[in-house]
Amino acid sequence: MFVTPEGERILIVDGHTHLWDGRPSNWRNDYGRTFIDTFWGGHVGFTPADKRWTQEQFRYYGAEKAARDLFVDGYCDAAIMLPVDLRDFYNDGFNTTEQCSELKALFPERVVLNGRIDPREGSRGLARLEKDHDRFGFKGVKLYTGEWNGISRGYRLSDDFVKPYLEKCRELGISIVHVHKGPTTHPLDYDAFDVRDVDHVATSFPDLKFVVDHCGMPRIDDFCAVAGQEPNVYGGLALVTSFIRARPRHFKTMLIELLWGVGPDRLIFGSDYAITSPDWIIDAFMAFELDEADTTEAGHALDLEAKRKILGLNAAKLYGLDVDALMNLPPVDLSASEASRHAAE
Amino acid sequence: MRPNEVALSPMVVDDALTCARIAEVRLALEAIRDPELDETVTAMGFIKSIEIDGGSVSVTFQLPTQWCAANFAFLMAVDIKAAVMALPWVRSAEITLREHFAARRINEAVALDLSFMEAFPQKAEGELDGLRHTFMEKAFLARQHAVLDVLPKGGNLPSPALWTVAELERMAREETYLAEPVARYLALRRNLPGQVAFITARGEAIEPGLWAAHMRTVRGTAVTMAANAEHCRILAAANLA
Repeated sequence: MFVTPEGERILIVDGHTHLWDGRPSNWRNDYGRTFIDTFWGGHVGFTPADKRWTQEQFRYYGAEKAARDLFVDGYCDAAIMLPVDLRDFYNDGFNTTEQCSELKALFPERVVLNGRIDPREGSRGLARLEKDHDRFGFKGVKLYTGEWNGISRGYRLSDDFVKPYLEKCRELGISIVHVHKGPTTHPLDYDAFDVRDVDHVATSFPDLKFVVDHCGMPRIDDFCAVAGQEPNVYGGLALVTSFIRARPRHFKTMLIELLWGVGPDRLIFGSDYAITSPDWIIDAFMAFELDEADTTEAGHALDLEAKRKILGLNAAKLYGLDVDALMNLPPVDLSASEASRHAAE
Repeated sequence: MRPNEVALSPMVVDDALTCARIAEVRLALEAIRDPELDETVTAMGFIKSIEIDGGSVSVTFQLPTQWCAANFAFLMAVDIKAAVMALPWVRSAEITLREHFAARRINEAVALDLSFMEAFPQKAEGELDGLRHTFMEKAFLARQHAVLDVLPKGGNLPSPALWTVAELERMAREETYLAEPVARYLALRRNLPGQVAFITARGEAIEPGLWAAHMRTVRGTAVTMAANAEHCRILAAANLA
């Protein structure tokens, strides 16, 4: 929870978090190194200098540190986890549902654990989704159209084999699909970041909600065009909000476009943890203002009401979280789990 | 070293001719754009070295991350090679993309002048003309926005919707701050028909009732491309850190 100087209590839900293992011991090949190093570039580039981690810490931080960064230092009342397997690069996977479930186990009432799907896995993948869903009870799943799988370098949501997966989600009551575009997609000539295939599935599955991670960045213009037409398409703000301190002018112009094109009811804050941490973004976002001319351009004010929606209420509504219950949870105390870990060691 | 400075290997700067030729190559590369960003490869700091041995030229370039899209990387490699080969004294050009997941394949393919589909036979369904065209349209809109953003407004001036190319050119000659954005815009505007200064990326006139919507489109594209370029600069700088 964030409390304004005036004493207003603001629900904070981080809509985009991970618990990954990018250590060398887990690298299947050199892509394992280059993938986590690209994330590291994002960490160094966007995180304020005094908040930066060491590279070793960044590669693996564990559930306790995640809980501290999100729920103790990061204002978050809840966090939404978005797993991705990346088994072609990492022996045990990079940020699997299983790995993410460690944080869920520590703070079940604060963590929303999503599943992952790869529609190229055919009937085997559908069976796995059912099994995972039986175990974890998903509200949403994440897919990553650029994920490598054998010889495949990615896919589009308009590919025929995607439909059975969305039908299966519908059947299981999984109503939220997080869509992460890029960086490489089969066929390689296709623009991997193109978000127009989201339009296709959003129209075909009006009862599902599609959250486009990073608001389609680097295709925010195309994303706004799609989300403007499809009421079941949401924008995940991870990466966009990370510009707020490094490049506030660019952050402002992107936010204006998103407010105009999507509106304040379908934008969801995300830190992309652990690419960076939510604390400094939330501090900066709460202090951020649009002047009158910007507000006219945006078509919406960035007032306290809009900030409440973006930072927590939109995600809570989407995921059916109980706002009052979340805001009245006892503060996170890590001493017990830390003590038990020390005892175990 | 600043990211946009080119490393000169001490071995190769041993005579004035070589220096002059390196400068020529560099000048030629200043015309090569990253199609996704509409920024030049030199301004983005992608060119890491230029080496000359007689009529043989080697250019090494690097993108902000190992995971930058292979298709745009391929386009830049092809364009860099063509620009170097167009210099009259060049006999051969070796283009090396480094620190990239598809570097080996791209470098081999560009050396053999293969097309993208030949380079990635199982992994591409088409050539990159469509991609290049899409991003040329985005660049056109972003450059149009850059002009509209600095045009004088209000007073007795007619709406920009009514301007002709000739009027825009005249204005750019009179006002130095307009010269560069207008030149950049008209370089792409010239490929399209008609005399109206501001048109859609498909070359169509904008109906008066749709002018506001068109302004939104050009603004959205300009904001997106500028933020993407900034994102690349941030990642490139972090890569050097």
